[in-house]
Amino acid sequence: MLMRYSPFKEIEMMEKEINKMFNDLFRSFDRSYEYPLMDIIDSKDDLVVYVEIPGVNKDDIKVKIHNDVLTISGERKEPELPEKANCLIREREFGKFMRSIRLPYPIEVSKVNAEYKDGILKIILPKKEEVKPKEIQINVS
Amino acid sequence: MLRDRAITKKSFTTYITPPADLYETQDSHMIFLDMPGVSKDDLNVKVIDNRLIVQGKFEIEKPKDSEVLFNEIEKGEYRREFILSGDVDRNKIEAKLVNGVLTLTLAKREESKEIEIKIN
Repeated sequence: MLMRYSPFKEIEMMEKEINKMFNDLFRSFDRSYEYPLMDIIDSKDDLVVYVEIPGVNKDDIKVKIHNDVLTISGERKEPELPEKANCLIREREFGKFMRSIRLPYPIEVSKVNAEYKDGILKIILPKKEEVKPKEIQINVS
Repeated sequence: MLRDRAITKKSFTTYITPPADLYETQDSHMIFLDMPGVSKDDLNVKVIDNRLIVQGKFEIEKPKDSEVLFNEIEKGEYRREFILSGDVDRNKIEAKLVNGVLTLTLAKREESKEIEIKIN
């Protein structure tokens, strides 16, 4: 992207970067309270939920919808290691996880679709017909 | 015109540091890296001098007219560097990407492997 050079712009970008660093730092503190992390995108026809769960077997993930609560649970197992492996650094976490969210719209439960690829679980929840935004064409004469 | 300069966003890029596990076995080092969202094509593993560099890109596509309700997942570029110790055979590095976890197996050099010496 090309832009005209302005020193203020550069300061602005730096500020953004510093803010991002701060946010990242604080987020890592309360990370344990909300695992797995998720993104929810509200588009016209459906609600798309992305859940970050790397290294989990596809069969170990459970997605449930009860009333209007979506629950994602599962277990992250440790990898199989050869015998006599010495651990030098350990930063990754393992174990059971569960997280529930309340859905903001009524969902067509029979049409829910989920796929797991590259450590990201993507759940597509189609909205019920009555909550979809409708466009009404008004003819101006 | 001389004052015009390009500010590329790249100069300010901060990378996501993927968490790593490091194990040592008798004949290899094993590195596990959590890089959710990175597909095989977006992953780049290379060795420069004695540095092992792992880099990958992750983006979530957002359809038009959509609203983001939750934004917790970090998106962008992953990058992590490791300094290779002298006992790693640079030509015998294997990489495997399964479900967003990158497994690197760095074989040790033949001459630096553990040998047991029998006592007569």
